[in-house]
Amino acid sequence: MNASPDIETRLRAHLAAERETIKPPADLEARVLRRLKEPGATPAGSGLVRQLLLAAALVLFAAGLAFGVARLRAIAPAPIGPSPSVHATTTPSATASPISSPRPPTATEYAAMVAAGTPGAERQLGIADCGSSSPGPGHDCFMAFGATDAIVGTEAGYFHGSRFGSGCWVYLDHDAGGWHYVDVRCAQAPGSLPRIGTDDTVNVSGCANVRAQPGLQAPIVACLPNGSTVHVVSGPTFRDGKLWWLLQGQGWMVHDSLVDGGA
Amino acid sequence: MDGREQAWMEPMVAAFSRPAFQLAAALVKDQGVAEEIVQEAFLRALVSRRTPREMPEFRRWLYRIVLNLVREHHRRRARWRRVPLRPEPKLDPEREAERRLGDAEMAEALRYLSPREREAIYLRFFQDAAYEDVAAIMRITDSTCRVLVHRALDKLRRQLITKTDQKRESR
Repeated sequence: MNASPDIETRLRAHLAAERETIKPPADLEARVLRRLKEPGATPAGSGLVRQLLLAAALVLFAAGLAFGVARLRAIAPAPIGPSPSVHATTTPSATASPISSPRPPTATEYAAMVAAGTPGAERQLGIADCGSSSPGPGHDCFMAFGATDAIVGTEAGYFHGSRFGSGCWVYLDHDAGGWHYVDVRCAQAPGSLPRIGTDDTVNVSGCANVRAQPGLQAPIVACLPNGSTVHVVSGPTFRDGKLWWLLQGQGWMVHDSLVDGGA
Repeated sequence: MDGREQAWMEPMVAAFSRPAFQLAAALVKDQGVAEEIVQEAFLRALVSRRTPREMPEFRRWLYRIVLNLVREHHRRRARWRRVPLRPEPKLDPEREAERRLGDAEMAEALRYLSPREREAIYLRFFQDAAYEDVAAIMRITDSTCRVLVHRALDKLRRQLITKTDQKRESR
């Protein structure tokens, strides 16, 4: 496609002149390498301690899944909820799941998560960034709350934020292009803020599907009625354009069914 | 970074840090920020397990991270602009003078492109990347990439014609 040769020539000349004005520092390579040698600049997964922690987390995760399988086997004959089309056809399988264990983000990951999630959260909440101030009476704004409670799941993650009067959780997905904002939820108490280790309430009209694996193609193993209390044990995982959470003794449920205004 | 990582990362830094710096500086118009972006891009490439080890793929991967960081920088600046506490950063007078010495009309016309169009134009004509490389870096199809570049060139031509007409009328 070469419809504008005159423009192309002029553009190339202009950009070549612009390139001439950009002078990288003489020691740029040395500066970059110095940065890469700083503590913390270690490829994910290297280091004995990290690998031991990962192994321990995997064992715990497998144990949780085994517990889930046992629970599902116990309830399999009777589908939960009013939907007549839902049957317990299969159970979650630890071996079939490529899900990685949730872990805290590195400092770099956390910074990237906050940078990617904050603008979307502020837009959805309709409030501005707190900047160097804090939320307070007459000054509702959003601020990230620190890396302590942030989690990286499987191609997804979340971090803790705050606005005046309530805590917020910002949910993201991740691909080769980096982190992308998905959702934000703020509340004064748990119940509609899914995250690992907390109870949550199913919020749907009718019942919400529980699946053997994250993803819309995974077999449905149960359907939990609106108002059911569940306990989130793992996640988030991003599949088929949605976030998924592993519920203790149940299976995987889509994020939208665990927040206010769920589908 | 251990010895093994250093052995594959050093040639990458030697090969790509300068062109990546120039691309970032051209897109953010701030050489200090460009250096931060390049350092951060290499750091992200080092810590990610999915970073390709072969040079052509590494280059695409690195530039993709650079573009991502440039977009983050623009978003952060846009956010700060909404908060009236911080003054707008001033243009570097030296760079501004250099810009005026060059093709000022083209520089002005480039400002009318969308961020995506500008990225495509700079990758294609500033970095001399092939269409398939531009497409891979921007994560779009080859045909979408060609349409994007073509549309941007059209926009530039229209903008320059408008400027020429305005000049003629004012005489």
